[in-house]
This record gives sequence, structure tokens and C-alpha cells, in this order.
Amino acid sequence: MAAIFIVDPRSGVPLYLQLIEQVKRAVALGTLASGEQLPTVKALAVDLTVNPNTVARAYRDLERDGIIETSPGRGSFVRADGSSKGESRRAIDDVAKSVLGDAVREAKTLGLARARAAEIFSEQLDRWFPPVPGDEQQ
Amino acid sequence: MSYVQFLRLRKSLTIYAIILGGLFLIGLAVGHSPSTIFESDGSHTKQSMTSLPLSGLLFFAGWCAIIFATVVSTSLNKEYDGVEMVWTKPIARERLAASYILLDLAAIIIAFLFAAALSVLEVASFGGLKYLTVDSRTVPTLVIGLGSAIMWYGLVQGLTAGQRGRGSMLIGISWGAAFCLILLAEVTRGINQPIHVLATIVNVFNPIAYFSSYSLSNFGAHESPVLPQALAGTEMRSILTWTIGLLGCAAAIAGWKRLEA
Amino acid sequence: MIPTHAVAIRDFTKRYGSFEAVSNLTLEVEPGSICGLLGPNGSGKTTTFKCLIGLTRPTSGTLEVEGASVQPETFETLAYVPERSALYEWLTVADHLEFNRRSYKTYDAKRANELVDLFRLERKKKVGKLSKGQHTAVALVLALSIRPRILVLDEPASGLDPVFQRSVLDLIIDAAAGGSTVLFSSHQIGQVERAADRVAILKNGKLIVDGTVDSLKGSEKVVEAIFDQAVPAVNGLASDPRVRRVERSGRILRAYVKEDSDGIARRLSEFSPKNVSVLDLNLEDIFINAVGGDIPMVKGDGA
Repeated sequence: MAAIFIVDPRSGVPLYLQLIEQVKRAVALGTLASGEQLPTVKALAVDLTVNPNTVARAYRDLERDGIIETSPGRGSFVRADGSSKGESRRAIDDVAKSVLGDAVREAKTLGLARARAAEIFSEQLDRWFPPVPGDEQQ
Repeated sequence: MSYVQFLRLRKSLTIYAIILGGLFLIGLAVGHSPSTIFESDGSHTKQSMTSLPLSGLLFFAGWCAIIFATVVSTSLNKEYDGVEMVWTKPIARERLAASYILLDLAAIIIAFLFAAALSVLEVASFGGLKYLTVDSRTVPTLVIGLGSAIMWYGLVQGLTAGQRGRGSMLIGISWGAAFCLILLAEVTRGINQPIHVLATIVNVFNPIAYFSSYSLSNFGAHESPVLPQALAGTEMRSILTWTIGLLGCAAAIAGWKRLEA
Repeated sequence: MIPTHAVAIRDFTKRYGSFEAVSNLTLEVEPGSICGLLGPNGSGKTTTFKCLIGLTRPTSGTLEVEGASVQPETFETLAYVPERSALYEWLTVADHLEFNRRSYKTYDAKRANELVDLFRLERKKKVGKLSKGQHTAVALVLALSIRPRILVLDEPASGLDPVFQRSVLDLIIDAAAGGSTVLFSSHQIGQVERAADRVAILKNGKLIVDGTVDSLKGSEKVVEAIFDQAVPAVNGLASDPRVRRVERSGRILRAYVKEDSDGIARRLSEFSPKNVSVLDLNLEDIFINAVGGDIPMVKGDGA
């Protein structure tokens, strides 16, 4: 289970935020199904070799954001009412905006003109979303 | 609770027993060989065929106990290497030191009794039991013998417990110093009175001064060539050896408690 | 009930003759948390631990565990793993376990055996024949087998291979997840980065950084300014209390700041750089910036 979560302790982004994003991503993509149980705080902390309070904080925030629900004694589960998927998708959207925004800012810092940046961006789109003959673009 | 020290002492006593056992067997072999009649073998004082004082055997046992005592006398000093382990246990340091010392003292007593028992056995194997005599020297020899062992133990323990390391060096030094002091007191007697007096005073703290062969030969006389006259009698020797020994143990406990890692 | 810190060190100073090993250290550790103590060799970490657990006496200040200075009874729930092995080389692993069994009321034989198997230790083997890593393993087994509420570890994974280091870290995390408080020192900054709630960095006996890993990463940043021409002199930058150090290289100026990176960025913008960015630092960078001063750099200055 823990293999689907990857965190980078060396990153400037706090671990608990990384974990929250990872869970939202998993829910948005369906890797974590509705109603599925998450590992316990203790198990996940040991699995990822991170501080248990980090995991606990992530779980608390995820619960506040409506992605998971925790019942004492039973554990933490992805909310079964389908709202979490939409919630997660929105969160992933936010992350994507931030990442792509950083990329554009970086391009600007490097001194690229807008047109050239757009060109390169289009090349990258073709690279990662290769057009499959006969199929519609997703 | 000083399981480790218990294990250590068990090991030491085992080695001690093996050595004495070896001597015992050698004694048997030598004594029973056809060319030898009943006479002294290295360890017993030579006596006539009519009586063999028990105090002689106890004298031997006393010396065995003294040797054993000096070997175990740096037990607290040696523990310094492992203090991160023993001082982080739920037991007060004084209690721990006291338990080490009690175990050591018990082992010394066992060492004494074992040597005494083996000597008696040795004598018995030659049919000499009927010649064994108990006299006025028997009990004092036992008391002062054990006392000297405990005194030596107490002195070394008291001096080394509060130190870090180099305890074994002191054992060696103490043996050398003890014999030198005896010699000094002996040779200066009558020749150089001031030094002789000084030597006898220092010898108050010398275990050998209380338990050399003078104990047996001039027993009863309040006279010793190596001790101050006032302290030469058997009662004084008995009291002094045990007292100094136990005071040394108390100093060791205090020293160990004050020590810092 | 007034909540007490699991570990409370207040104004602690230790002097050896004229040498001050630790100066006015104040550090508090919350129950159930993991605190990592970092610092170069000789910065006072081991001295602090020794005074905390009573092996040595402080020159001044107080060091308390659960509200009181350490007494023999405290060791029923406080376990210490020293940096160098304090085991008895001539005894076996089993002897050491027996030693523990007799010394503690809270000894958990089942847990001890679990851990012995986890580390694949042979019970009958003499400790003298074990590798360094196995020595540490035994020390950990002994410490964890009493289910301590407080765990103090001095460089628990020094000189060990990465797999083993990870196991040690997992055990620390497992202990904290079970409610124990852990205070450990390490040279493995990556370990502390992962596992610690808060971090304290010592240098020459003084506390120079103290905070949670997240808040430190949030405030310790590099402000990088790239100029068209040579880097201008920025008066007072290096002596600005918000700045740890300044680096210049060609047309790039880097200011390592401990707080208010935005403020420093604005300050640098006044000099019309081509670009100003605020970059993240990981804990290793933060540590080196805080502690190093002796790192050979491209000519810095004192502007």
C-alpha cells in the first residue's frame, strides 16, 4: 500500500503537504477507491520512515478537507460518498496550476520570449500526449 | 542485582578452584609416591609426626584468600568502561557498589574456606587427620587471615573505585610496596630507629604486616618486628584488619558515587 | 494537570576547567515527539546527554525528565543508548537480556525476542564476536525491551550501512508512534529530516538553530539575485541579523537567510537585478549554513 505514496524529505515542501497531495492524487486517479482503508498512522510512518506526527497531521488535514474520514478504533477511510474524488480532482488541478506556473516563470527568467516559450510548451505537449491516430484527444 | 559481577566472580572462583585443585592433585602425587614419606610439600609448614596445628592449614588458606582478594579488588574500577550501562539502570549507585562489594567479600570467604577444606583433605589423604590439633592460635589465624584479605581488598577498592582505569597497576604496586615495607621495617630495626618507626607506622596499612609468619611464631606476644608495639597483639590485629578493610569498602562506595563519566 | 515536557533542559552550562563544553542551553521536548540534535563533533551533544541522564553533573542549569531530575527510578522508563558500546564483550547476547530481565520491572521478554529475531542476532554468541552494527543492535534491543517512555540515543547509527540505519530509524519512529518520546543525535541529517518533529543544532556548545523541520524549511531560504553587470556592493547585507551568510560568484549574489526571505528579496530588488528568486533549502543545507563558517567559498565579503 505504501508503495503508492512517495515523499521526498529533502524537498523544501513540508512532508505533510507532500503526503496530502499524494493521497489526493491517489483518490483523483482512483488508485485509492471510495471507502478504501488507509494505513494506520503508525504503519504508514514506519513504511515511509517519516515522523508519525507528520502522517497524523496529514490525515487530520485530509479529514478537514473532506477527503477521508476517521472513526476511532476502526481507522481512516476514503470517503465513500464520491465527494472526495471531486475534491481531490480540484486539489490536483491546483497543484498542476502551480507546477506549470512555476515552469512558465522559469522560462521567463531564462529570458525566453512568450512565443518561443509557447513553442517549446507545444513540443512538450506533443511529446507527453502523443496524438494517437484515429482516437480523440482526452 | 549485580548479575554481571556474580558471573565474573563465578568465573574467577572457578579458575581459582582449578588452580588449587591442581595443587591438591600434585600434592597427592608427590606425597603418595614411594620415595616420599609424610613431610611438607611446599604449602604446609613442617611439623613433627605427632601434631599438625590446624592454624598452619588456615595460614595457607589465608594466603590463598589474600591472593584471590587482590585479584578481585578492582571490580568497581574495572566497571568504569561500562558505566553507561550500569549507571543507567533503576538502581542507586551506592546500592550497586555495595552489592558488588558484598559479592566480592562473599567470594573471598568462599575462597578461604575452599582452600582450608582442600588442605584438610590433603592431610586426610595421608591419614594425618588424627594429628590435626586445634589450639589458641587457630581462631586468631582464621580471623586475621580473612581480615588481611579483606583489608587488602578494602584498601585497593577504596583507592581505585573513584578513579578511571589503571586499577590493575595499583594491584601490582600494592604487592611490591607491601613486601618492600616489610623488608624496610625488618632491616632498619635496631639500626636506624627513626626510619624503622616510620616504617612500622606505614605498615599499619600493610596487610602483610598483620599476617606474615610472625603471626604464628610469636603468637601471644605483643611484639612484632614490623608493626608498632601497641598494635601488635592478636586482638588489635583482628580489629584493625577488619576495620580498615571495611572502611576501605565504605570509601569505595562513596568514591564510586561521586565519580563522573 | 499541568502538562510537563518530556525533557526540559534549562540554561544548562557545563564547564571542564576553563573550557565551556555547553553554554546556556535551553531545549524542551514534547511528549511523544522526536527531537533530533545535530552538530559537529565536539559541539556538546554527548555532554548534554550525559548530564541529562546523570552520568555527569552540570556546572549550572537544570536538566529534567518528566518534570524531575533523573533518579534511579527514572530508568524504569528511560532508556539510553550510548555512542560507543558499553556492553560486556565476554558475555553473550542472552546474558545481556538476562541482565535486563533482572534489573527492570517493565522488561518485556516477548518484545526482546522479537527484536533479537528482527536483527538476526544469535543469543549464544559472545558480544565480543559481534560486528559494530550488531553491538548497536543489542544496545537497541536492550533499550526497547523495557518499553521506555523516553528514549535517548547518541548517534545510534554511526558507522552502519544504510539498510541498517533505516532499520534503526524505523524502530525510533515505531517507538514514537507508540507514544514514546525520542531524543537522538545524529550526523545523518537525512535521518533527522525524515524522522524528527523538531531539530536543534549545536555549535561549540551553543544552540544556534531550534525549530520544527517544517518551520525551519519555511524560513531558511536562499535569496538569489542575478545581475546584468558585476554584483553591486550591498551595504550591511552580511551583518543583517536575518542573514546567515552571503555568497558572490560572477554576476550571482546569494544570501542565505534565516527568516524574512521576502524582505531580503525586496531589499535586493532595489539594486535592479535581472532576476530575484527565493529558493528552498533542505536540512543539510540549513545545517551547513548554520554551522559552517569554515567552508572554502568563492571570495565572500563583509559588505
